[in-house]
Amino acid sequence: MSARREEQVMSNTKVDPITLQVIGGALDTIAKEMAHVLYRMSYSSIIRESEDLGAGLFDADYNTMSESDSTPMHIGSIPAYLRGIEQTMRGEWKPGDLVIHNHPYYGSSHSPDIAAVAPIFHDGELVAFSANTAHHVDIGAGVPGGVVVDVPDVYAEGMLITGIKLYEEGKRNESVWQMIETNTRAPSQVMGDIEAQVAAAELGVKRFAELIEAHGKDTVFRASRQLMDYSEQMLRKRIAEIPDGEYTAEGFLDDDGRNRGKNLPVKVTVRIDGDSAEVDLTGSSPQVPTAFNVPFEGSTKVACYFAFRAMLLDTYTTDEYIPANEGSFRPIAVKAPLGSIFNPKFPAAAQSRFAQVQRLVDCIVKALAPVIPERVTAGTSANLSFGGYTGLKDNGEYWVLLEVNEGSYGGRPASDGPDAIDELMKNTRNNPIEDVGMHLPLICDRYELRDDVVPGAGRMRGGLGAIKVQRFTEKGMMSHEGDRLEDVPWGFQGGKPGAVGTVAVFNRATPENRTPYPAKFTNLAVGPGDSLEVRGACGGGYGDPLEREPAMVRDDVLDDYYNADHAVSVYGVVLDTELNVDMTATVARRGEMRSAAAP
Amino acid sequence: MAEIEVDPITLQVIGGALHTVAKEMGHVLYRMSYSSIIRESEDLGAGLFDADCNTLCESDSTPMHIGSIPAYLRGIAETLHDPWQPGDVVIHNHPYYGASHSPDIAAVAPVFYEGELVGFSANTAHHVDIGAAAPGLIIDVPDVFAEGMLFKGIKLYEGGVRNRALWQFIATNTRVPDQVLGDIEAQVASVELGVKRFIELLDTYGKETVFAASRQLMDYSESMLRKQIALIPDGEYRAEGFLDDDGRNRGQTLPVKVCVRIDGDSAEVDLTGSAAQVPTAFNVPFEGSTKVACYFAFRAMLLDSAVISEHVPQNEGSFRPIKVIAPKGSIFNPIYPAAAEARFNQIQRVVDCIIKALAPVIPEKVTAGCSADVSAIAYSGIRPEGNYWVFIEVNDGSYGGRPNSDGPDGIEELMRNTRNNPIEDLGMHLPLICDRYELRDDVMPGVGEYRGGIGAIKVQRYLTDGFLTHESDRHEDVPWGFLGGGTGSCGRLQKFNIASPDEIEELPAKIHGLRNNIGDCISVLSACGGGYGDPLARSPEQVREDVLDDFCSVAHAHDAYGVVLDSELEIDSDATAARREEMRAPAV
Repeated sequence: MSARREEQVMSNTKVDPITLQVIGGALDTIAKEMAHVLYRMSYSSIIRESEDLGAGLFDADYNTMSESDSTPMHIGSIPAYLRGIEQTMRGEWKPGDLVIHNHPYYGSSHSPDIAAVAPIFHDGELVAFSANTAHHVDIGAGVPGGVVVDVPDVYAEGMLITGIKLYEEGKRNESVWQMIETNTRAPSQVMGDIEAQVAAAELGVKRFAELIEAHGKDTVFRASRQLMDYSEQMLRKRIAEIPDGEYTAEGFLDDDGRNRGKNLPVKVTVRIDGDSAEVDLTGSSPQVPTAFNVPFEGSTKVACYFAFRAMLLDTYTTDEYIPANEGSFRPIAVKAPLGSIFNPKFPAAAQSRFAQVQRLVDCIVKALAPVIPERVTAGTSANLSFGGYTGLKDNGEYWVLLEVNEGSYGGRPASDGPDAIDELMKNTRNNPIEDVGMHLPLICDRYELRDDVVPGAGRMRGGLGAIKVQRFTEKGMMSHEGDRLEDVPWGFQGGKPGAVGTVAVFNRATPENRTPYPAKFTNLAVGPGDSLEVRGACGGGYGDPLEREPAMVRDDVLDDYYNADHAVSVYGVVLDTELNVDMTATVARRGEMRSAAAP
Repeated sequence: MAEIEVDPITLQVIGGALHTVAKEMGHVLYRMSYSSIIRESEDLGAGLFDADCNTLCESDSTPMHIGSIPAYLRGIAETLHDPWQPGDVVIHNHPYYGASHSPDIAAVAPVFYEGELVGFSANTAHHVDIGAAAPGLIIDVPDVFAEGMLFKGIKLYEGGVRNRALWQFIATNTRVPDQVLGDIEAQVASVELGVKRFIELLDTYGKETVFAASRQLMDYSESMLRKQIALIPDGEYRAEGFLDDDGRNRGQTLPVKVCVRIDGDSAEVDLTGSAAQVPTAFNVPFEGSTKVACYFAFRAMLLDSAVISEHVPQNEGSFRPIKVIAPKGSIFNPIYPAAAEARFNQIQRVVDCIIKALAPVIPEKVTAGCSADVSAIAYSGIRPEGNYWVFIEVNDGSYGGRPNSDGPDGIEELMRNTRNNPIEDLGMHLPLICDRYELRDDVMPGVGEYRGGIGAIKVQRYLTDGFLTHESDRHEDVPWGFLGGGTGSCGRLQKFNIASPDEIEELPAKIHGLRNNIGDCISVLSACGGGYGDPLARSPEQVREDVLDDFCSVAHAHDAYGVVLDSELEIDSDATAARREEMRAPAV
């Protein structure tokens, strides 16, 4: 009998508020500590530096009791992994087991995100799971370098692992271990990272056992139940404040990485009904023949959960502490027709899914913006820019750098959109360029805010994307997975649209010969001096630019975000030769612009 | 160690027993297997090996598998983590640790006798899909990792217990788990049988006698081959040819250069000067394929059962007199992690070039140029339930003319010896229909006293949408004629839809992951062998037979053979003599 059902039978007594907070805090701390062990012990920069990972504790019914606040994409995905493991694992759980799993048609977020799961037993009974997920640099896909877009099916994504016991009652399965080691291009990183995952999962088992020891099993589970109910109620309360109704928004993605020029629609309908919400993706693109599909359980649903939590339970707008647990998923239902890009059919490849889920979140924000304007931003870059750099070392092993480039936010109700930042579901840290330069045959020649476009104008302007140029010092291959080179981020309430991103390749010796590239390309063979230049998309503006504080416009001009001409023509702010605001001229100019705009 | 001399009768009995064990292992494997590539085409090898990885015996299935297993065993010795134990079964397919190529997975069981490791029972089989970057066959992939699962000395069974997690891993990572797991089970049963039979043999004759006999048999095979090599005049013999391309860089042909050095009773094959390794999977694993091809060439030319009356057992001895050189970084000895899955066309050409090099000094033991390629074709698609169907078939080639007979038509030549797949079997199980399967009628066979063989034409039609990968070559370099014989013809690959059969698209020999629609037809036209000897020396009766069989037109008989047929298709002897005289006269 599962812990939950047992608890319901045993007692309905409430845990007192103080104990509740203590246990809630402890659960949260355990998740954080697990994540800490994982990223501190790991070898690859994608985990060690970018913290592309998730870790937490789950009850026997796979409810999230706590999760680390690392990368939102990982949060909320682990319960789907656990359900996938239940479907595929042979034999029973035993103490000391550790299962690995990454199959996108059995709940994984996408195949490079391998989960490590350890069962937690108490008095001989399975009561919970300690689990984490981490993004691995290479799992032996059809192409090296970690950017896997143009492949025919899920098998070409590399090793698929379904409910495999890497440890059985404490004993490592050496054959499986060797198999993984042989089938990755970066064995020293991947095996080290899996060891870190094992250590993190084991730590979770130990800490949770200690927690049960300290407070008693019943109390701990009752508390965790109450915390979930609490998170659920908090989210429901917020949803109930939104008027009932159907809200829609749409956008489009550049292409699937193979069929150039064929845009892919993203269509989102949000239905609010009392304190529940439904996200319906019907009308979005059918599934595509490349890996540009989104695993439904492990990614599509997770993105929708995230959107509501981020909009409605943001720590900035909510005073109360809301624990990250299963409760915040319950009020949200997600629908995507089987065979669509958000719910592909096996064996379609579905490795490259991040740009789509970002747009999904952006469209949820856009759909609800008219009714909760104070809780949204204007359109953000809402994409992914994933640079893959790779080459062969002398020993035949590959070096691989996977780097997530920043996007930008749209203008916010009371402040500008942040520039060059991991937006929405991205929350990876950037890789120090010094670290890259020291370890790899790459040099970062340029890393700054874009100066070729102006930010989306508005009362609160959109954020600026960054420009980054990575140069190879020896031969290798470069790849890029991204989107948003065509559909411009939207402005809101009179704010102007932002700007799309660009991708280009050139050699340092001939910088004028820039070749524009699509956002998705794989393994371009390059030599010394060849450089990849990525410019991040820029967010849209929020509110009428004519309402922007003239002093803020002046600051932007002083900071070189735009020039004095732009200040006059778009914001109606007139600066004198000393770059001080000419208030009289500004008032006149703005009056003129307002009447010109009036019907 | 003092070695006993086994008497000739016991020697023959043990030799026969070893051979039978290998055959029985091969039999179990192909009878138990699920995939048509093993079950019908018999793309497998099986045998027994001593503790030093010497071949004691091997099944005579596919020559490519024969002689490759010792390299697997050495690769396993390098990579095995824990010592061998009774009951172990190791699987291995890593092309940089001795495998022939990655789809050929070996299953190896140790043979323990009185507590001591005395040998191995092993087999190899071609698996339909190991989860590569594309279903079935692959060519245009960036490296060995994209070839699918790589096994390096992995214990699938440890002390008799199957590793369930590993089994599950394999099941998840192949597109056709039922076939692959069934075939691996057949491999395990086959090696277990080998262990059992080997132990029975040791029980019957005693360990010392069996191993002494097997050493004597190896020495015997070795000395038989050396005797034949010694008959060839010492010297350096060269030949060359070229391959179409690497499957990606179209139009860039790849040279194959072979130098055979005969020194007394030893031979050396030097492939220096052949193409550098290529960026696709069109490279050849050195240990498991390049060397094996060279061993095969000498055995086939010099110990052919048609020309040698004594039985020469198939064992390690026939490898020893041959040394193989290929520079590291060349197409015949690529550097890790270059992909090396699609290697068969190249080694066929190596064999063909060895023959061509030695032809002038042993004309009675060679054929003219064969098709010397492979047409390995993978048809695949996704069933409505979401699972894959994958079908791999090997299309026939043809031989060049022979010293005393025509080159056979529509046949597996040189190192290929897979059976063709019955088209009825195919039509029953898969959404494909074979619309045409006959000898080519668009070209004439290579002319000669003994004409070259004619390649086949095969048309397969898709009944659902699907994919196609074709691994082949020989669309550009024509099979050579010998001693005045004419050249043969190149192969072709065509695509059309049944609704518009006149709109034919000519495709290169290497096609990777081509998407096909319902009704699309793939037409494979195999290369035709060159002729052997002067066509004017061909008997007019044989020319007439060819005309009656539609292998040759009346005009061609006249123009190429100088044979004149009358309107009743009877030979006009006088006109023929005159025409031949005129043709022999030197051009003015």
